[in-house]
Amino acid sequence: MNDQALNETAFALETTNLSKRYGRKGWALQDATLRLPNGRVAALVGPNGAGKTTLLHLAVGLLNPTGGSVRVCGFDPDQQPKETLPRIGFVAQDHPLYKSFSVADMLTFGRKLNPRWDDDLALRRLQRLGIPLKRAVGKLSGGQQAQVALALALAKRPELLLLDEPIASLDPLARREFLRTLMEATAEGGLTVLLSSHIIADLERVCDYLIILSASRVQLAGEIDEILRRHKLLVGPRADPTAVASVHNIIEASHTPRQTTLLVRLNGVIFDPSWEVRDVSLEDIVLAYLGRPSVSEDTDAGRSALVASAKGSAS
Amino acid sequence: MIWVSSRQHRAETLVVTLVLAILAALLLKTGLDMASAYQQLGIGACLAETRRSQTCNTALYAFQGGFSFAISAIVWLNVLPALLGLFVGAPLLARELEQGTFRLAWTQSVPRLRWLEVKLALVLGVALLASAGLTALLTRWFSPLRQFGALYFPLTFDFEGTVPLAYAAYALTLAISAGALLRRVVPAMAVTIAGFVAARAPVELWLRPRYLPPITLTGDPGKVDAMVPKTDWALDNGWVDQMGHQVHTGAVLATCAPGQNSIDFQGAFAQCTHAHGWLMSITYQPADRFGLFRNIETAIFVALSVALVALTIWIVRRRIA
Amino acid sequence: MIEFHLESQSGVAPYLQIVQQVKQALRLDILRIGDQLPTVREVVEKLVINPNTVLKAYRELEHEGLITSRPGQGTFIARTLAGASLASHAALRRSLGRWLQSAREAGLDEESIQALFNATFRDTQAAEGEETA
Repeated sequence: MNDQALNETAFALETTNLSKRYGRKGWALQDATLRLPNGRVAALVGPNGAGKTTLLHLAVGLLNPTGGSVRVCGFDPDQQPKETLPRIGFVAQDHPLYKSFSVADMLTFGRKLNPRWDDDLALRRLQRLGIPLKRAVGKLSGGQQAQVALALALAKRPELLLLDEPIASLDPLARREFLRTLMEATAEGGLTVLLSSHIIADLERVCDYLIILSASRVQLAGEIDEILRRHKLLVGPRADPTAVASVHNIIEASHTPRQTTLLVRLNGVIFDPSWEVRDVSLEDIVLAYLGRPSVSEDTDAGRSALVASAKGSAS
Repeated sequence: MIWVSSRQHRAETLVVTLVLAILAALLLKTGLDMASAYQQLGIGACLAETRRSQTCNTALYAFQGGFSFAISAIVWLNVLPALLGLFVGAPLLARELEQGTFRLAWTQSVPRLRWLEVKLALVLGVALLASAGLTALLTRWFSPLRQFGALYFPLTFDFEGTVPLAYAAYALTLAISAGALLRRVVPAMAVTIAGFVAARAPVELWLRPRYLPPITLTGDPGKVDAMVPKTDWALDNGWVDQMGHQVHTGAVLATCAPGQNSIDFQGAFAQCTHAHGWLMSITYQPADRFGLFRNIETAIFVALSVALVALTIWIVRRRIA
Repeated sequence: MIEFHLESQSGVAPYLQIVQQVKQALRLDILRIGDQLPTVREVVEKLVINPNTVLKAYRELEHEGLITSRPGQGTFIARTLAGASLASHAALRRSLGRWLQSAREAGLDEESIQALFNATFRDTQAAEGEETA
């Protein structure tokens, strides 16, 4: 398959061995190397405290790296804020807004602080959602506040939109509406999205790229299609997994007296007919990675292979 | 950014403007009353008399009594810079940090240092302008009292020239930097009060009398006090013996003016002290130094303010997520 | 007009699900030549899915020659599936029906029939040396 229409030579977000340490509290992020191609809607998943917020804050220049580097649309967010900030849209956790401002005030806020500002776009969107312009932001529901925060970020006409747990505190209907707005914005083109979440359920339909962060390290990063293709569940009679492990990466293994189940990342074909090969849901893949103890040596090779395959066109 | 800053601090600005307006009105009213009373009672002529007549004493008594409340109330204006710091300075950064809205403000298209620069410039600019206006008003208000010499000295020093502006700048920058460091409004307010008092009190009470070494004159009562013009700032009044050792004032009074409420420095009292070899000692700062002192005190608080601004910039640049 | 649906937990990539649904609709005669497919925006708004998913699915179908996009007008069905619709495989359908009856008479329930079919299907796939999935 060729994705000619998507420009994969330019990356919206590039990190190289990105690390952040907080004084004596330890590493919030270690050696994160990522290449997020343009036009993707990427999910950043991991348990709380895994480093998702740290990664996002490093990308928008709210934090500066302890080690390594980060580039957003080609610029360094910490050293080149003037070039970076107009290109990004950011909604921090709990969608901070000025509670005493009216919705219209918030739009004025955005207009005054951003040279590239599409007021009409924001107005139309808010109108369609039925959000009253004169009401104080503090009086809106959680879902409406999230929509206002999103409208603000999108009205900046960013190239990269970063969202920190945008749907965590929303009820299911508000969640769906938020994602609908996000998808409609993406459909207009020219936008790359990175959103973090510790809930995986809603993300599969909305995202086409996945980054798994656990214990402050990147465990997996790549196109979701490719991940679904490369990860399979092998079910068969009770067996020693060494033969399989010599070729493929075993992510999770479980045994009963009569049966062995392996979740593997394939590095080729399964020839042994005693294994039944089943598809795995994205959620189960993520859970398997998150359930693993801290990263071991074999994943480095596997990880870079997956990142590399995500760079070129996948087939 | 001007719109954003003024909208963000709309509430505080309104309150401060209201307070200043009320203050200005009160000052105008009492100032005009005082000036006209001064004229009508002929205070100026009275003060010029070397030996006060009875009518003059009555007039002086009436004047000072009539306005003693206003004058003592003026002293409370010393808290104005602290209030400015509390209600405008403390929330400036602390509120954004406490509520997390800095993550919204600093990811628009304005880099955070520029955002800080503009806010600082706006807030300090407006505060200094308001201080200057108020100072001008107070300087006019004090003009009748200035004829009394240095009697009301600390007041006229604190509210004159560039000094009040320096106080305001200090209180503001202290509050803003406390907010940046502590990231919570209420603790920043506490630090502002403490820091303001901790600087103002020692400087005024201990440093100011010593900006230049004070002059000490000793001599017979009635002569030496005449040598110190009333415009000068008397720091200390005491008694020494021929060898320069201090003599307890209580002992002198008990010996030479027992049971008297007011002492005439001429006559019997002076003969008595002379007989005992006691000299009156006056330590003072001459009025021609006041300009220099004002400049020194201004410089102290401006230096503090500059250091605090630098601290704020450093904190915002490196230490906040 | 066809309406798509998405099974989140199926383990099948979302774009493939759309491709499969279009093909299935062609097989069942729900979609005919000249019918218009919903626009990317319409699908995105209805399903709340990634527009790239829809684009990828439509591109795949176009690659297989099943659909064609006319700029400014939309995306339309170009031809039916090779091997035509299920209607033209009447003989296969009949023999399958007979086999199913034998299986049921042999005592197999629905799940056993499916398991038997899947296992045999896989064996033939493996025998032809093709990649699974």
